[in-house]
Amino acid sequence: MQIKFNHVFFTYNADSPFKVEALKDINLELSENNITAIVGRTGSGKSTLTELINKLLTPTSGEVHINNLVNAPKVKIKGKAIKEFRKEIGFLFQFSENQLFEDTVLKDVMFGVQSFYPKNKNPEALAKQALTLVGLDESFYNRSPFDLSGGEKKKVAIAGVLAYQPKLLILDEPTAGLDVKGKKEIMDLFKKIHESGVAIILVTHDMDVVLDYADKMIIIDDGQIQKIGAPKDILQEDVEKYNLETPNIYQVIHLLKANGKNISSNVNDIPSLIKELKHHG
Amino acid sequence: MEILKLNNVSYSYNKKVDVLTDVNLSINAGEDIAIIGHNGSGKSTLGKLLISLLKPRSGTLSFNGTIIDNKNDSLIRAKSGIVFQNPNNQFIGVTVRDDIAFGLENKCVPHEKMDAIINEYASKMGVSNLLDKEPSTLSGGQKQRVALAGILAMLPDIIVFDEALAMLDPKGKKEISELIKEIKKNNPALTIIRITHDLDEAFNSDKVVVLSKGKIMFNDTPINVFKHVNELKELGLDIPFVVKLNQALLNEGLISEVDYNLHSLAKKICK
Repeated sequence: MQIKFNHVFFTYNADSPFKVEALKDINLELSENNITAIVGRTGSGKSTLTELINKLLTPTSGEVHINNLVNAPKVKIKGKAIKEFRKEIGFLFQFSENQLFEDTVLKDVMFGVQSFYPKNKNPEALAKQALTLVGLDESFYNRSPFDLSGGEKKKVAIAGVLAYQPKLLILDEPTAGLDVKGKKEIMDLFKKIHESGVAIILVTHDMDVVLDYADKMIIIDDGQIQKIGAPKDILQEDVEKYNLETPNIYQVIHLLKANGKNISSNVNDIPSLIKELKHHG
Repeated sequence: MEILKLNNVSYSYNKKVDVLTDVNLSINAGEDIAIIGHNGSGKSTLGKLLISLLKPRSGTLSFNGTIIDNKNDSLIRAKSGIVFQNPNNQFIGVTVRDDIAFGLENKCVPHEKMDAIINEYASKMGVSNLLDKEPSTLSGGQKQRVALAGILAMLPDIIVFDEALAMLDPKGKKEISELIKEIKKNNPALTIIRITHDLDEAFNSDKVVVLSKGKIMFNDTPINVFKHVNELKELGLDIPFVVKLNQALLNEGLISEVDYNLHSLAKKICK
């Protein structure tokens, strides 16, 4: 998956007194099959960025290239062509558990395949495959999505996206509202999906998730890219000015350093910290 | 004084699977309680049963010693409120003002008094400038403030926060938890029930109730509950970072006593 932003600007309500410049001159290239985290405070422009990739929005100026598809102001894309964008890119919204609507789990998961690939002869097989991947067995097929727990509903929504086999998955706050186990389960699932060849863009406030799962992180603030790099490098710096939470482990490391302790930059969890303290006590 | 008591309460949504089984729980007025448990453990159901938004299938809820049934549930309804995780699910009014007014209208507060009350609580929650806005145009943190203003205007004895912070960004989270602290400080008799996944939030409560598969596994102070690392792990629950760190340090002899304050803990490590 090749994603390229070329001098992209996006302004909401451009010709009105309520105009908001959400993105200002974004240049970005994502070519590796990474898990990329996009982070930043509410209103920083991070959702706008992902919505440009999926062509939910069109840039005010500049171009977004997704493989051979172009999203730019003068490029008219309608009907079928928009489908080309959307079926390559799975978008999982926040509160995805609320987007279920069919009367059985299986039908719900089949819906995306059927609308993107109306000629596909076996949407059911793809749906079942996707449900297996998210860990829902056949006992779920004929249940109503509305009788499931929040976590199960979320899995159904994920399966619904996976079933049409997108090459890129955009996740908007996928772990919000999940418990620790659910969070780990779902992120491990995304990691597995990623390993099967799907690139992932992750929009999140959870820096622990970024540290544990993302290969790359991009901090957006004030409509511009502020930082881009490996999470373990960036998160050791001061990220609170972007209204991001410093992961617990780095909070401790900062405090230890402030008290005169020397801690190597490889320490990124409790076991490695303990090891460091024991050996260089 | 005991304000809420669940006595052998069971509940099921579809009569097949029990969401809660034989739950006994006593809550004193003014307590700040966290209910934790994995997704599907019955936390939200428990929260709703405690303020009679759901009725037990068997067993009873008592509020200030009175058993609540279909006839007298207005007793507790008038004295309790709930803030949901997804603030969009709780708005009724077209404007913020209407929304705060809704509860007061139900309580038959005379219209001439209403404006003053709305203004008072909007100002306390810092949303005075938003009164004429449409709730859907607000940020997550603003929505939770509006929801709280509406609830506080009803002078409740009990507020349930059903993962009310989960969807907020770090700044919103911090602001709303400070606000809850402030509300509690001004009204120590207020009983707070937090349904949460946030272990730090649970760690800072007076008591932690751990639910698993519809049963209460632990009900104790945070320090006593989070001692049970292995049992919690088996239930799919983690323990707060600061507890984990203390244990690891203690096991290796890097500190001699626990300290749950990171600042002073860091000093102890460096000694």
